[in-house]
Amino acid sequence: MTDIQRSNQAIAKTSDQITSGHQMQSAADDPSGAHTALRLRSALADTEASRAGAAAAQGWATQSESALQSVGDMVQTAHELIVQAANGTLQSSDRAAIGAQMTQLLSQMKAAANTKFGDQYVFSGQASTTAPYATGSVDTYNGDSGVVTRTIGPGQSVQVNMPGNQIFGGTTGDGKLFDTMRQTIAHLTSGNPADVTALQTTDLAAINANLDQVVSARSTMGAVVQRATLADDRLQDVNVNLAKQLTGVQDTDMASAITSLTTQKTAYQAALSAGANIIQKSLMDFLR
Amino acid sequence: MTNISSFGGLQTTLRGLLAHQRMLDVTSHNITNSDTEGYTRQTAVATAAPVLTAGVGTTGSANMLGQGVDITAYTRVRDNYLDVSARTQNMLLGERGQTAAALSRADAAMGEPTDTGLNDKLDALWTSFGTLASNPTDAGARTSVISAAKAITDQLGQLDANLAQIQSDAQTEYTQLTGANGDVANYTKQLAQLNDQIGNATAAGMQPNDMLDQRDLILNKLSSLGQVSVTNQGNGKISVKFGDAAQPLVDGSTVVSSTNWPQTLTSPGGQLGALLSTQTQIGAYRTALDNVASSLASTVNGVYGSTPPFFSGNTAATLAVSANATTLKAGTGTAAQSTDIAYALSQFSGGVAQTNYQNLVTQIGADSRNATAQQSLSISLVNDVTARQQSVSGVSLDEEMTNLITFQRGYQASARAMSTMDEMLDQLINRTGKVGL
Repeated sequence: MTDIQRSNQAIAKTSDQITSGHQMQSAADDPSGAHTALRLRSALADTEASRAGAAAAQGWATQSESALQSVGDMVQTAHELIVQAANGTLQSSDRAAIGAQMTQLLSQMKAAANTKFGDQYVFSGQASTTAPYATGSVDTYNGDSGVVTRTIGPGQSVQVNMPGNQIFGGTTGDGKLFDTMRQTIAHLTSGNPADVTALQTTDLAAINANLDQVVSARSTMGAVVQRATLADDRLQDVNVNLAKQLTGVQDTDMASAITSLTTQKTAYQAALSAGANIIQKSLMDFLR
Repeated sequence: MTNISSFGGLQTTLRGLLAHQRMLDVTSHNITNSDTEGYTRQTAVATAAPVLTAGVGTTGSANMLGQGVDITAYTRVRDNYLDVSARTQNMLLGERGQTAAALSRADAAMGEPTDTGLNDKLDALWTSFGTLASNPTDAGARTSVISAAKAITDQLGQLDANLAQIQSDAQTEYTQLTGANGDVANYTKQLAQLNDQIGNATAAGMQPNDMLDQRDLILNKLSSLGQVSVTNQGNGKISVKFGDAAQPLVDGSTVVSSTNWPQTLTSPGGQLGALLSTQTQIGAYRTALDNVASSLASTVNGVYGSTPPFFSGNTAATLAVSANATTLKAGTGTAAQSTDIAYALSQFSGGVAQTNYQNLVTQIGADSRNATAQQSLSISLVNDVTARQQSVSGVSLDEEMTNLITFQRGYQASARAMSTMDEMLDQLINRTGKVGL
């Protein structure tokens, strides 16, 4: 009777495993397996969260990079305009016309500096809800020098931003892009012969330096995008591996469970029929 | 010279008839009680009747002549050692069965490893902090953090309440079993009455077999509740000590004194012992759960800051979320993208609090598994000892049938012997000395 009950319990347990798809219904079924399963689940959740961080890092850095690409093109155009204006044979009215073009270019550069990723300004440092630059003649930088970081792996984070004041500047005389543009515009529109010399020397040198800065900043952002993409690929592989391990520990091996169930049912039926057959006859059948 | 009566032979065969009738009676008693719980098969003990010393030989010297058979006693076939063994195994089974039941409830209450367990909820909290670190200006991310934290505090409270329920259920059952109307009190009264009746019967020289069976049955039932030790007082009465109670339950005295039950027990063994010890064990689990809560609060607050703190309280029942979605800060600075706090908290996966919790789950699982395995073993041992008891004391219908044949033939043989005596006497009385008539 005890053996029949035991058979029954074994069948119930295997049925549970098959219907729920889980090898363990509770930690008591396999304590060390349960411990491993818990740790693997945590590791998987951690990896998924890191992947989300890597995606966010890619997004921010890509947006910065493409904005810097436009700015680089604009600086190139500015450079050509300065070269053109530095020609001694130009009239002051011609230079004034170039000055107007440069002013247009400056406001386009400002628009690029105010690029957003979602609803966050990418060049404002940590003060991403404030536009870094106001349109118009005031060039003050309204952001901060803070670092924006995103997670790209367990314990790993990367800086994804470039504070605007490092490229575009914000104070008169700091030698950054906006300052160079303002100086150049002033030299172009003044009509002063001394300014023409300045255009040929200091302004040209300054715009070249600014171009180098923009190109260098753009490649830094490009490197961040690259790093985030590689991290994401690696995390994807880790994910697949962890998921495979978790399935091995946690999920029922259907083929072997169904085979076990069939064997147990056969054994149970055999036990039942043996029990029924054991004592058919007793002495009482033979006595009158 | 003493002669032997002519009718003496009749008496001898009469004794034979009567004895075999009694033997048949005992056999039918056995057969009809073959399914009675706790019944011990009985045998009629037949001994040769006291001899008659009389002279029959030619020398006139005295000789002993047998006078037939007497049934001197009806005895129970019982092995006392197996009884003691059975009570011990019953006690162990009661203890282990109760422990296994309580621990399996505790294990089920933890509900791991599943999607609804606390481990996944802790992971959700770290993930929500990670989302906040990537989107510090998003109001939705803040709400997710708070709701993930609340889910954790709710679940911790629920787990603690479930464990407390198991403890209180155990205490209720213990109080009920040991109370004035509980099983122990009832068994004690019955034992006292039986002791009294058996004592009286034994004093009168009788063997109260069925009452002895009843008393053994009650001792068996009592033994699964706690440790029972029986001392035979020699006049048919017994003294029973239960668990580690100071006074014996019954002491052979006629009336059970009102101070014999209830008494306090510390570790009585059996089911009662398990009801007490599992409360302590589950208390330890609750303490460990409180430890998880307090290490969660202290590690998170350590990073988040304590004015205001993220969590308040430091036990599983009192842990609560202090921060709310509007005041939740992602970083130490005031700037929109200051995310160092959220980042640090997102790295807590597998940290101290979570590891403590995972270890607790594994501990409960392992304890429950052990308890169930021990229960299985105990069941086997009890079955084994019961089978051996049955092989000694149980009624085997085949054996009783064979005895029926034997005693019936014995009766027939005695009857035939009596008929022969009768014929002999008839010959002597009616046909001797009638020459010529």
